[in-house]
This record gives sequence, structure tokens and C-alpha cells, in this order.
Amino acid sequence: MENYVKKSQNILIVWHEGRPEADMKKILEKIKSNIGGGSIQLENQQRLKLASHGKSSFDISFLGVFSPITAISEDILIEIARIVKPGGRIVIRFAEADFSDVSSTLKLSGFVNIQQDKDGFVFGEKPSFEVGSSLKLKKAIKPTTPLDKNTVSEAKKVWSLSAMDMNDDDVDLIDDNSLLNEDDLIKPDAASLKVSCGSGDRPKKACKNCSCGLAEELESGKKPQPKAVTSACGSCYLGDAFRCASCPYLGMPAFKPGEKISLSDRQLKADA
Amino acid sequence: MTKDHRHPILVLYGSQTGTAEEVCERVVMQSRGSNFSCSCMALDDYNIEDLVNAEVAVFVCSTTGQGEPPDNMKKFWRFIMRKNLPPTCLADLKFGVLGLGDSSYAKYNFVAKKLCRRLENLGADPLLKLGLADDQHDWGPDAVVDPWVTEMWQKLINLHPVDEQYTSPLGSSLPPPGFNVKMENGNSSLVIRDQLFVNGNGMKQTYNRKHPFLAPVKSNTRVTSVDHFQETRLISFDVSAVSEELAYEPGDVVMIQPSNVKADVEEFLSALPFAADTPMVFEATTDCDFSIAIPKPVTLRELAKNYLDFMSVPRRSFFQLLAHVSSDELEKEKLTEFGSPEGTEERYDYANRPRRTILEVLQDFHKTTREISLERIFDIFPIIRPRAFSIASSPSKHKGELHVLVAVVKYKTRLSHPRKGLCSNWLSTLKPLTQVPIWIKRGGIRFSRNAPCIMVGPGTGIAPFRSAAHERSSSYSQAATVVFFGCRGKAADYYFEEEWKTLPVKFFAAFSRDQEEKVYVQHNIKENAVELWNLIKHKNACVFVAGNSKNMPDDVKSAFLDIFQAQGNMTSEEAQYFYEELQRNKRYQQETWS
Repeated sequence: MENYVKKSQNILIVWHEGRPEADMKKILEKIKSNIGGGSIQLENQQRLKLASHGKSSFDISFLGVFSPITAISEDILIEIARIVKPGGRIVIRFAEADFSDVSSTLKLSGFVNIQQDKDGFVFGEKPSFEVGSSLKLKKAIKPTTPLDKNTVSEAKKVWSLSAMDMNDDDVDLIDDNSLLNEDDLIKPDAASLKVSCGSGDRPKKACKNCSCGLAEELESGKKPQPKAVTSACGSCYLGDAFRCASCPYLGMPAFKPGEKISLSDRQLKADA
Repeated sequence: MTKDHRHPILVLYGSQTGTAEEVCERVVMQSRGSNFSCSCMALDDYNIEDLVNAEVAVFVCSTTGQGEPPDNMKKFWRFIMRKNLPPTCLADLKFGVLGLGDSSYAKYNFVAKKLCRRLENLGADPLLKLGLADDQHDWGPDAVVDPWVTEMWQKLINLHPVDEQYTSPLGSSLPPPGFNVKMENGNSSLVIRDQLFVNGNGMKQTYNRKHPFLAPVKSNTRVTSVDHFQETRLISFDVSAVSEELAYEPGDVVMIQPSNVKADVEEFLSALPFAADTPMVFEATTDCDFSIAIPKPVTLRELAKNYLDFMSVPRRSFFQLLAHVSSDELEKEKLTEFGSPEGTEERYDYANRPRRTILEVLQDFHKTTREISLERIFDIFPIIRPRAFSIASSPSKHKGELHVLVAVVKYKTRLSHPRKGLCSNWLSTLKPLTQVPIWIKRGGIRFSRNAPCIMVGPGTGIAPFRSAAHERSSSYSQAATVVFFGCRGKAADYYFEEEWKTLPVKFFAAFSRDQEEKVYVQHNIKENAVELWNLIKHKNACVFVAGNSKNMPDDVKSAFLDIFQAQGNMTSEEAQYFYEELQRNKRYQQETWS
């Protein structure tokens, strides 16, 4: 077992009650020397979840190091999958187990690349992308075996028959609230709905043929200085879509060049 | 496969205010000229039997009211939730669900979430993840709609790659136009009357969006004081000719199809390069599933007045289309930027935040505007949507009349001209005898004649309760009526002040700005805790809440929960459960609007 660790790794060893077959101390020492500056965390199977380790914090997790596993619960495996890093491994020593059973349990818990080596150790890997919601068990009841064409066409007949009678006063409906699970009740986080508001942080834009100097100021990275309200760039008459951020005519409709437009006092004050 | 070897896609919607419907129309527009052929319709218009044989269906569903499906998918909803539908019946269907909702409501996007789960449970195969669009996002629903639709097309293209004879739905080239236009020359003696909607030949019929009733205005009076900043009007329509066909009850809603005001129509017409009064005939091309019938022939002036919603805020597709037709370098560059996903922030800053109208954008891009072709009119400009108003009159007390209480919407953004609500401003200008297209919709609230009613209706929310109070008094109902009204000031906006004095109701008014501290309906509710508890617990009373949906409904709910706890000796969980029971039994009903 100790051969599977590498230098500087964080190791998790999950143990359970049972007569240790090997000398625990010796094994631990060997692992310690192999990982050098890494760390070993020992955790009892029953207390693993309570320990609430941070997600993706271990490189590799061992089970059955001191005495082989006879049974393993999905719960524990899921928790291990959570706290092992993406790309990290789980190594289990079983007493006796059907590999295909073990393999499917590991897969359901989120591990991939399930293998067994010649010594009987079973390996699994946490996928190297953050899996996120695919670890959760979906509520949808989907048939897992390929569907028999007959089943489907029988089912469709029921639908058609039902559709022939749209007078639904007598028909029983499911309670549609039962379709929702806890996650469906979660509302989006308020911060995710916000976009950084334009006025404060966004850089002021200069118009295309800027002649008031704003374009140069922006290019040279200087903070634009507030100016007296004049327009020399010739873009003001075009309409808001083409005006620069300091245009005194912002908010007013487009006008013809040379047309006399009076600005209110509010508009004559340059924006800071 | 359709006859022309294009893959059929069902695009089905449940839309209350037209947003979901418009999303679907844009999807259909993208599919024009591609290897996909879209059929688009409201869920209740679709022959549900066919769904088991469909290959691909896209569902765009809003959630409305208190977590309910919109009216045009209620029938579908009751079918899809039938217990007897077996789990594999939709095994041959691939689908996508896009929800439109508002996360400030408790039952956020419930319809889309439930539909998606139900379809999966019936064996259908999701093409992509459920999309949840949110009004509360800074960029509104488009923040989710745009990327979701793009992903949906990508998944479909993976299934059925586009070969050379077709354009891709995600392509940037201009899709073919939805209409062909023919000028009707000669025959200038043809008198084009305002042939908006053809009224039946006097036969009894049901009135709806396709065939509204043209109701003459009887009176149009301002009911807020002249020095109050908010203009609210009580408008009465003459419905004496159709009292049977247009029968309504308190709690019902009247749908009004508004038009643009004259000044805006003139401005719009002068921006476009077409003759305003030449009769034209629009024929839909094969791909176009147009829900509104356009009169044949029709002039541009008529279209501008009654159909084209050029006073709405443009969507991304508007800028994309204009970018295509533009040949002016400066304008095309800017339009392309606004139409691109990368330009979303700029577009929101330019158009959405200040609520800039399509007309104002046309004026900014006046060179491009002159390059718009008539056959693209319906691609570029959305259609004016009808608006709903709670009916304020009582059928027994105000025989032959239908009243609405309309707050005229006017506010400032950073644009120099104030923003105006299209329908409320148009209504405010109407003189008596002007005809207005209307039809009735069942309202969200139903009053029971024999049970005591507690009505909470601040501001224009009082409308359905004024209707109910008059109706109950006219029918000599013995059950108690308690009304909680709230407004800004006794002299400013105390709606129906004189009437409440004569009606057999217990009336409480809260005037929020008449004194230093704010007094709202919920304060008066709390003060009457004992009596209200007695009515609810022992007299089977029903509670109704109507009005502006910002904070008021939650504040009122809190007040009632406090009463349940204090008077009914409940814990907060028990009070919440009691409240939900009342809702389930239709004894706590809400009709709110924004």
C-alpha cells in the first residue's frame, strides 16, 4: 500500500473497528517516509463525515489498510469523493468482494477508472474536472435498461386514449408539488443577479473622432479631467449611441449639426 | 421529416404577458432558411395527442400569479399531470424547457421546474439543462434566454448537422423575411376605414383577442387631486349593447388592446422612408406562424397606430436585424456591437437601463432606418400587447357600464424626455365615444357571496373591491365585508371616498403621507387583530389582497401571520401552515401587478 504514495502528498487513511492484521505503526512509518513533507490524516469510518474535511483536500485515500474491508457504504464513499482532489485516488483493500459489485458502488459514488491490481487492491479515481451536480442523485425516475419498443408503444396508447377525453373533471392528477425537491426551492443568490453598474466603474468612452482630447487621455491611462462643457469633436449631434461619456448632450435626441439646442442647467454642469 | 426534408421542431409556449411568446417568435425567426422547421403555438392550442409522436419539443413557460401556469397552458397542465400517464410514454421525445420567472416571488419559476421534472419522469430525454430566466437579473430574462437558446440550437445542430443548402440557425446572415408585401395601386377610391378588428354581424359571440368588442368610452375623469404627482383616471365604457356577451363578476379582469398616441405615430412615420397612406397587402411566407391577423389591405399609418410597438424597449434581435440592413459604416458598426453577445453591457446601458424606445433608437440611427424594407416590418418591430385591468364596476350597480381605474405611468430616467406607459397614457387621452377594443378574462380572485370577506387593496388595488362591495350591497348579501385601503393622502388619492360612506362595509383607510410616520394597510390590519381573527377562525372569512406587487403583499401576509400567532396561539411554523391551508382552500387570494 505504501508504494502508492508520492512525495508531499496529503493522505487520508480511513480505518474501522476490526482486528488489525498488520502492525499499524510500521505501516504508518513506511508511508510517512515515502511522502516526506506531506501529511497523514487518520479518520475512523464512523466519524469521517463529522470531521467535515474541506472539499478536494486529499491526494489519495486508503481504506482497509490495517484490516481488510468487508462492507462499505455509499455514504462514506461519497464523502471520500468529496474530500479527495480531482484526479486523486481511492485505494481499498477488501477481504472478499465481487469486483463488479464494488466497481458499480464506486461508480455510483463518483469515482471513475475502477481497477483491481494483482494483490487484490481496488483503485478508483476522482474525475479530474469538478463534477458538481452530477454527484447528486437525480430525482428523475428514468429507466436504466434499454426500452422495449413494445413497452413504449403501449405507453403511448395510454397517452392517446387519455387525450381523447379532455374533459378532465373526473381525472386524477398527481400533486405537482411532489415534483420539486429541496434544491428547486433555492432562489438565485442576489449577487449573481447583479452586473457591475455602468456609471461607477466602467471606463468613460470617447467618441470615434474625438477632438476634445478625451481619447488621448484614456489611451495614456490618465484619469479624465472634468472639462468645461464644449463640443469640438463633432459627434454630439449624432445621438446617444455615438456620444462620448462626457458629452453634454447625453440623454437628448439626435439633432442636425448647427441646430440650436438649449441645454438645461443640469446638463451644463460637467459630470465629475 | 417535413416534406422539404427539414427537421420538425415544436416550439410551444405558456405566456401570460407575451414575453414567452416573443421568445418563441425569435426562435422561429432564427430557424428560417435552416434545416429545421419550427411550429410555434401556445400549449393549449397544440393537439396534445400528437406529442408522443414528436421528435423534438421546446417548451418556453412563464410562471404567473402565485406559482401558476399562464392561462394559455392551463389545459395542457391538467393533462400532463394526469396520474394515469405511464412513465415511458414520452420515451421518443427530446425536449428542452426554458422558464421565465421572477425570483422576488416565493414560487420562482415553479412551472418550468415542475414541467421539466414531469417530462423526465414520463421518459422524455432532455437536450440540455433547464433554463431559468429571471426578471430580477440586471439584464432581465435575456441574460439567460440568449445563451440558453444558443445552446439549444447547438445541441440540435449536433443531432442534425446543417448541410450546404441551408443556413445555420446560429449563423450571422440575415434570415429570409417573414412576409411578402404587395402595394395595392389604383383603386384609390377604396376607403380604408379603421378596420382594426371586424365586429360580428350582430350575432352573439364570445369576445377575445382575435375578436374584441369595440367599447365606446362613456366618461374619462381624473380622480386624483390636480396637485398630486400621480394622475389616476376612472374610465367608464359603454357595454350596454353586449351585457350578456360581456358579462363579468367582481374580481374579473378586462383586457384592453391599446394603440399608439397620434404624436408618436407621426414621429414614427416621418422616420421611415415609406408613404404613410398607401394601401398594402402583407402575405405571410411559409415559415411565418403569425398569431395576429393583419387586415388586408392596410396602410402603414394603421400599422403604426394599432399594431407596431415602436414605443417598447428594443431587444437584441432588433439591433442584429438593423445591423444587417445597414450600409452606413458608423451606424452598422455600432448596431453590430449592440447586437453581439459581447456588447450586452453596452446595449443594456444604451437601451434597457434608460428605457430607450425603438423610436428613439431609430432616430439615433436615422440613416439605417431609411434602409428598412417593408417586408421586414414584422420581423423588426414587435406587436403591441394587450394590458389587463381589474374591473372596478359592479354589474348590478353600474348596469351597462364597465369601469377601470388607471394610474397613468410617467417617470424619468436619464433621458431628457420622460418615459410613459403606452396603455395608460393612451387611455388618458380618450374622449367620450372613442372605441376601445376590449374583452373579459376570468380574474384571479373569486368572491364567495355568503362568507365574510376581508379585502386589502391599497392604491389602484381597491378596484376589484369597489366592484365587490357594490355588488354585495346590491345583492343584499348578509355576510360582513371589511375593507383595508391605503393611499398617500386623504386629499390626494382617496379613491371612491364618497362611495365608501354609503356602502355597508367596515372601512379602514391608511394615509401614508398625511402625518410624519408612515401608516400603511398592515398597521390597520394589526390594530383589528381580534375581530379579524374571529372572522377567519369562526366565520369562515376569506382574505383578498390586490395591488402593486412590490412589498405590500409580503407585508400584509406578515401582518396576518402575526395575528394567527398572537390571537390563535400558534408558533410561527403553525401560522405559516395555517396560511398555506387558507390558500389551498381559496380563503386567501391574491391578485397583484407590477
